[in-house]
This record gives sequence, C-alpha cells and structure tokens, in this order.
Amino acid sequence: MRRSWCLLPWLLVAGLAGCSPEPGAAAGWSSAAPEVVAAALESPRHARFPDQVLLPWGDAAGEVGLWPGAPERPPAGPDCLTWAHDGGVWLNDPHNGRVVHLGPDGSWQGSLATPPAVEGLLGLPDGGLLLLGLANRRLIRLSAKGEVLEERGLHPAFRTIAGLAWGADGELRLVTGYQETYSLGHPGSPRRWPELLRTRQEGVAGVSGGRPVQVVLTDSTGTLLWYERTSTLPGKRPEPTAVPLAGTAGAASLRVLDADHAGRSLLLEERHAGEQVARRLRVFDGEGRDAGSLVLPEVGLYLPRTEFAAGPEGVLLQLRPLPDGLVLARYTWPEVQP
Amino acid sequence: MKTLPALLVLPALLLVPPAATGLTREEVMTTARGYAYHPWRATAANLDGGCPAGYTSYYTVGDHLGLPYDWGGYLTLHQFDAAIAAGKAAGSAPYTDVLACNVGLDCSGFVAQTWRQPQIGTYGIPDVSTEVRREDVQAGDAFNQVGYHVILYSHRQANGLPFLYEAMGYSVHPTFTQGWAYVSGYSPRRLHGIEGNDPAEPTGTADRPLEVDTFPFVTSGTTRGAPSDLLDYCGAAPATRELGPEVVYRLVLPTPGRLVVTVQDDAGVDIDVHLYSAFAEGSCLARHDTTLDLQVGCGTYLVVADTWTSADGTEFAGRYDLTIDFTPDPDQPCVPVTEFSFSGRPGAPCAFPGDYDLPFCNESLGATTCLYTGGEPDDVSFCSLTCTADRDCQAVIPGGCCGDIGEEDDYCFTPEFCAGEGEGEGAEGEGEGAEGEGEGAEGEGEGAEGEGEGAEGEGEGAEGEGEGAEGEGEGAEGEGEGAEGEGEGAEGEGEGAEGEGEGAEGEGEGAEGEGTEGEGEGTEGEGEGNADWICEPGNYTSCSCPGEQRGRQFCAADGQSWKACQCAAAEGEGEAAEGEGEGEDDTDRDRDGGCTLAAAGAPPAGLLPWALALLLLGRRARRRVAEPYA
Repeated sequence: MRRSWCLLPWLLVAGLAGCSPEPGAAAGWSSAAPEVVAAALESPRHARFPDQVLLPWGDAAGEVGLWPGAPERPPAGPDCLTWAHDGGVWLNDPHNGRVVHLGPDGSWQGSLATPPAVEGLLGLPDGGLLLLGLANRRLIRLSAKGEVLEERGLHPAFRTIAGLAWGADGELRLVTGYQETYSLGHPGSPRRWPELLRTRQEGVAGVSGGRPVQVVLTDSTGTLLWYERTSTLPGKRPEPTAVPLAGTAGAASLRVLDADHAGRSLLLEERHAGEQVARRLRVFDGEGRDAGSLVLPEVGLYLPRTEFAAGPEGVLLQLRPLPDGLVLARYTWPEVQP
Repeated sequence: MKTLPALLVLPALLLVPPAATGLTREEVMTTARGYAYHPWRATAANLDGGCPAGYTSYYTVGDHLGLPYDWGGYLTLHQFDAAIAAGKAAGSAPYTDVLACNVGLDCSGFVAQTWRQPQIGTYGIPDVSTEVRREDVQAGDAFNQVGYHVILYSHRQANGLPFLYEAMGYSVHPTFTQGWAYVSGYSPRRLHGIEGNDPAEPTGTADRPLEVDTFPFVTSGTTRGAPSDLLDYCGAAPATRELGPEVVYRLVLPTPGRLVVTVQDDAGVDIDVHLYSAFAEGSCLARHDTTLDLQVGCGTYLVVADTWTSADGTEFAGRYDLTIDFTPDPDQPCVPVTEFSFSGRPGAPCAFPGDYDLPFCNESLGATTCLYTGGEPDDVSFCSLTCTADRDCQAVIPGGCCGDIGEEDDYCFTPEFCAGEGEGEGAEGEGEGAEGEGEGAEGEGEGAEGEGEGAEGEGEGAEGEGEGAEGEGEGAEGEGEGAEGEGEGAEGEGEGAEGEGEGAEGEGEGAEGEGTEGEGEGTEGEGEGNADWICEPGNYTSCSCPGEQRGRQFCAADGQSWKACQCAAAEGEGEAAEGEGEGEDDTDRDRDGGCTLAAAGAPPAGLLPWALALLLLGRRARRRVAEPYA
C-alpha cells in the first residue's frame, strides 16, 4: 500500500533491510535490447549513444510507462533524464515507479525502484543517482545498486526549483526558477540551511563546464549575461558581461541549454505562431553571432518537465514522447545541422 | 465534492454561473499562491484514508507545501484542512479513478477556485471567459484546452518563459521551466469582469505580509477588495465565520512579552483580529472581535485582520484601524512559538526501526541524525545534530543538552535525557562567579569559561584535562587576550564529570564577565563574508586531538579554511574545566547536574540503560554503505 515507505529501511539501516519491489516496479537488473531507430542526425564526435532510441510504452524491461490522457487529465510519462557516469542515461519512469538505465550504446541496462513523485534526476560520478521529489520536497541519493544513501529535505523557502545540476566546481547545485543556483555541497557532505543561502550564484552553468550564464529578453531581443565569480554580499555583486544575441528580435522566450569555455552557447528559442509555438535550437558564438540553428519537431504527447539534458562534448539529449513510445533524440553542438 | 463524471455529461450551459464581477487580478493570483504554497501536514492516516485497495498516496508523512492533486477535486483551503484533519487521503493515486476517500484539487478545480467559480471543468471555462491573444495574457488569465487541461498564467520571466500555476501531476504548483510550448494549442482565456491590468505584487497577503517593525504599530487598512481571501475559520475559535477577505501582518518578536492588538471598525463593518503562528487555520492561536491581549513567546507571528461574515452570508468588509503593541519581557526565556513545523526538526521524533511512519530528520532544518533508544515500537527517537556544548543544542532544542553516546562526535539530546541525575557539587554554572560574574570576561580572566575543578569530563584526565585546554592562553577565539578560554585549563579538566565536580561552567574567577569575547585582536566576525565561504568566520567545530581527545577548530577570518585544531595543552592535570567554581547557575534550567548522558564513558547509573541503548541512526548507517566520490 505504501510504496514510499518501502525505501525507508534502506535509508535508515542501509544495507540491513531490503524491500520487495512491487509488481511492475523493477528493483533488480534486467536487460533487453531497445529498438534503435535510424539516425536522424550525424554526430562526428559521438558515435556511441545512438542518434535516436525508441522505448515502447509498457511496463516490461525495455519499455517505459505512459498514463494515457483522460477527460480533464493530460497524458503523462517519463518526464526527466540525466546523463549517467558511464556515458549512458538515467530516465525517470514514474508510471512503473522506477528509473531506467540505458548504457552508452542506448541498450537497456536495468532499472531501480524509486519512491513516488520523483521529478528530477542527476547522475553521480560514483554511478549513483540523485532523485528530486518536489511534492515531498526531498533529495534522495541512491547508490548504483539502488540503496538509499542519503535523504535531505528541501527548505520550504525554495519555492521555484527547476532542477539539479553540477557546478563547474564539482558541487551539486540546485537550480531555481530565476536562472540562479545554490550549492548543495558534495554528496554526503551537504551544505545546510541557512548556509545554503550564501552560495547563491547568478546564472546557470552548462554541464560542459562553462561560466554561469543567464539570458534576458528586453523588448523581445535576447542578451546573454556571463558571470565570473559571484557573491551575494552587499556591494559585491559583480556586473556580468552582456552579449547581445543576433537575430533574436521577436522571440517569445530564450532558454540556455548549455555553454562552453569558449563562450559559445546553445539556446532554445520559442516564437509564437498563432496558437502554436515554433521552437528551434540556436547556437551563438562568444560575440553573440548566430552560429547555427535547428528547427525542432512539434511537441509530442506531452512536454516533459526536463526535456533536454546537455552532456559532455557538446551532446544534447531530448525526450520526445510519441505514440509508439518514448524517443531519446541526440543532437550535437556547436555544429547543429538538420 | 467530486462530480467530475457528472460534469462530463451535463450540458455545459447548466453549469455556467453568472459572470464574475469585481474580482481583481491580485485576488486571483493571491488565491493561486495560497493554494500552491499552503502548508499542511500529512499523518499516516492521510496516506490511505480508508481508500480501496490499490490506492497509494504519493505523499509521505510530514509537512508539505501546496495542495495535492486530486482528479475531480474542488474545495477551499478550509475544506481541505478539515478533510486532512479528519484523515482523508492526500491526493489521487496517479491516474486512478475519482474517489471519495481522498482530497485535493484538479486542474479546473484549482482555476475555478481562483476565479471564484463553482466547479465548472474545462468545458465550462469558455462560458465564463473570453479568448485573448496569446501575446496579451496577463496575470490571472488562463490557458484552457477543453476536455484536457487548464493552467493559470502569472507572469513572464526575464527570459520570456511564462510563469504558470497549475494542479497537475502530484500537486498544485508553479510551472516555469517548460516555455510557451507547454501551452501550445491552448486557448488563452480571460475571466469575464476581471479587473485591473498588469498587477503589481499585492501586499498584505500570506505571500507578502505587511511587516510590523516598530511598536506601537498604528495603521489603517481595508479588507474590502483585499486580495487575500483564504482564511475562513480560526482554529482557536472554529465556530466563528471569517469568510471575507483578510489583510496579513507579520511581526518577529525576539523576546517573549505581552502582545496587545486592537482593531476598530466603522458601522456596517466587522473586522476581527487573529493571531497566527503560520498561515493555516490550525495555526490560529487567538481571535477577538476587538482586542487581543496575551503573553506570547518569541518567534514569528502573523496578525490577521479578517472579515466577519453573518449566517446569511453577508460579508462585513471595510475599513479598520489597527494597533499592535508589544512589551518585551526579557527576563523570560525565549521559548519559540510553535510554528507550523516542517517535520524533522532537531528534537522531533524521527523514523527508526520501531516506527517507520515517523518523518525523516530534515537536514535543511539542522537535523542531521536520528537517535533512538532501540528498535521496538515503544522506543523513542528524536532528530539530533553534532554539538560541542550545551548551548549549541539549546538554540535548536529548548532545554536540550550536548552529550556523548560513544561516537566520534557529541550529539544534542532532548530535555528528557538531560534532566537530573547529576551527582557532584557544583553543576554547570554553579560555582562562584558564574557566567558574567567573575572578573574576567569570557576568555579574559583566568580560567574563563572553564577554570574550575571538575567539569566536563569525568575524573582526572578526562577530556581536556591539562591546564589550558579549550583556548588556553592568548589567542584563543579571536586571538585577543583572554579570548574564550584564556585561563588555566579549560573544557574538561577537572575532577568529576560535568555536574559532578565542584563547579562547572562559570565557576571561578573570571567566568564570562568583564571583558567581552573578542576583546582581543581578531574578533569574531571580523572576517569578510564571501559567497564561497566554506565556514563562517568565528564559528568552530570539534576536531580530533592526540590521545582521543577533542579540541576546537576555528574558522579562519576569511571563511576560506579551518584553522589548525586547538587541543588541550597537555594531558596534565590543570585545575580548570569549563566553568569552575561555585557560582550560581546562570541558566534557568533546574537540574542538579549537567547532561547526564554527556559524561564520557560513564553516564549516571540511572540512565545507563538509555545511554547504552541509544543508537545513532543515519550517519552510522550511511557510513556502512557510502562510497567515495571522484
């Protein structure tokens, strides 16, 4: 009845008590070969993770679950992903109460049972995983074997939590809704409230190790704000370097997906098109010049909460829930090409 | 109040209420935030609520923000709080049928509440609203897709992304990362008769209360048109109807004292005053028609001017004059008001092998570890944290103390483990010259904090036995002369355990008295803060010393590093310990000894079974399985 408590023994006496997985919630490791569909984009540098991987809807190994839409209730399914330590991917599968691990070649590696209401993931260097639960306001650290190693509460003062990220300093960072982050410390040695508040950093750094960056739209024209070291102390907040972005006039929104040391940035641009919204990936060089773009297909069955995950070496993964199943599409940048 | 199936078959026309008039955008958004950030507490009963087999709430026992999502749910905050208190289940099991055993809101129930409409469903939204251009949406408008979903729009973020509120997935929550594509294909709708344009953030709400920063605080206001209309009943006077809008004030009281709140209103108006510890009806401490006059503890309070409503539904909103006065009583101990408490605070019960239904310790609130006395249901548990002295604990667990359970670190204990059982003469602070009385200030005189015989540590040679333990000599905390612990000997040297020896904290010449901490060079807090602090200048932590002794390690002035561990000078036999002497106890605690569990290695016999049985939960367990990080 209470699947959530199933994991508590792992936390409280880790390694001493187990938990029988619910039917359909795979706690053990299993394998099955997913269907790898034809490559849509060529990647000169990343031949490993396939360009597209299709996971059919279902609850077996090799599948992920979908709640079909119902009156007054949209469909829902996997809603976030993160890169794994091995070059593969972790994927949330809430319908089946698990997270799914795909290997670097896109193959099904297995799954781990999770507590309910997981809404964010972050892969850890030791092969483990950090789970973000917003309804219960929890961070839960799993080992690679699924043991709960650590559980931390999120302070109620954090209302707009966008997700988790690694900072360039190697610390976990909590990304909020204002394009800023707070350092959570290292796994196992967390920063505590209110110390956490002192770690605010303007801007969100890309996973490729770029500087913290924000984007603002003023009169529908975009500007990137690059930050160096930041401080929240009075009078110590540094001025960012502002870089106007060419060709953004009329944009409805801009979101930074990744940035690199060279000052290049990958953004998601939205434009209104009647009742619809047109989206494309855009790359800008360090001077804000247009360095490429790629029109994205229409949103599928639903829009995942974390649709994109930027990985090392300019790889970007996208979740696309389609009628046949969930597609993981890979893009690369800075050379985005249709 | 779930009629979704019926809604789906009834002609929409029958469900259409009169168009709303007079509702402002501020009111809509205030209500939306009220639902999204409403604090509530789930108990074990709320996890199943007597629902049929197969139902599973996705909530855990503990405190939460935001109402649960519940397919077909439509209710007010008052109805929700009452239902949760009655043991109804929290939220829908994901994508199960509409049930009567659980509570929460669904998407249209949420928007209907903010628009002050009856339960209309997405089918009814077009009948009470007008379509607008997507680029023209304003706060309080909604994106609707008939038969599918409806979302409330709040504002545009700096990067152009919409900031939305919705009941979807697990809860009522803000949605702000998914862009305009999230509402692609939706119809932007504006409620008929909604007033205002581009509203500023309203104040006087739970989200942005009006701050009371001086006393007496004299103000005037009106509840007519006030954006907040979420509190309907006071827990302290549950039969009184306060159904109209309210204005919220916040005051932070550093000390206990007498609080007097008066309200005057005009003819035809009836404003009542309420005192809350949190913005929830169950946290309403007192209510009165005209005057509140009561003793309060320290902490944060909300004073709410709310509109009384007659039995026929007439709301007596209008103008009022409000005065808030406070007379501090610094002689009283600061016992914080019982705020709405997110579970897992230090001192609170926590999940352990005897009862997994208890909440986890919450590290964000300072609790790092669960201590428990065994693994049986009758055993007790509480959240704790490491400490170096009682005062570390008393800041977070009133009446608590710092004690040793045989782990590397000392941990805070709840008062039940601290009381009584001391044996020696001169418990902590009992000697002459208790804190503040001696000649030397803390750290200035001889034997500042801890000089006497017998203190923490039992017997000779216990923790910090030599002369000049904790901060011996010049240059302890703050480097100044006589900073904390200049005297001979310090923490730990004496005969007898804390509470057992002849004196404890504050005994002797020069316990904390003249001369203040930081009198010397290098005072606490001199360092400049920095966002990249790894520690707070002036703070210290416990560290390991040779011979299994413990010392202190101070944070460097720049906050960038910890200084070298300061250990006891020698394993000698100085005469001092934390507080020496025969002074008077400077605390309000009435106990014969110190923390009975604090004595290293040998707790008093009366509590020995407890001490031996206390188990460290969490940290120890994690150590077994934690793996190194690259």
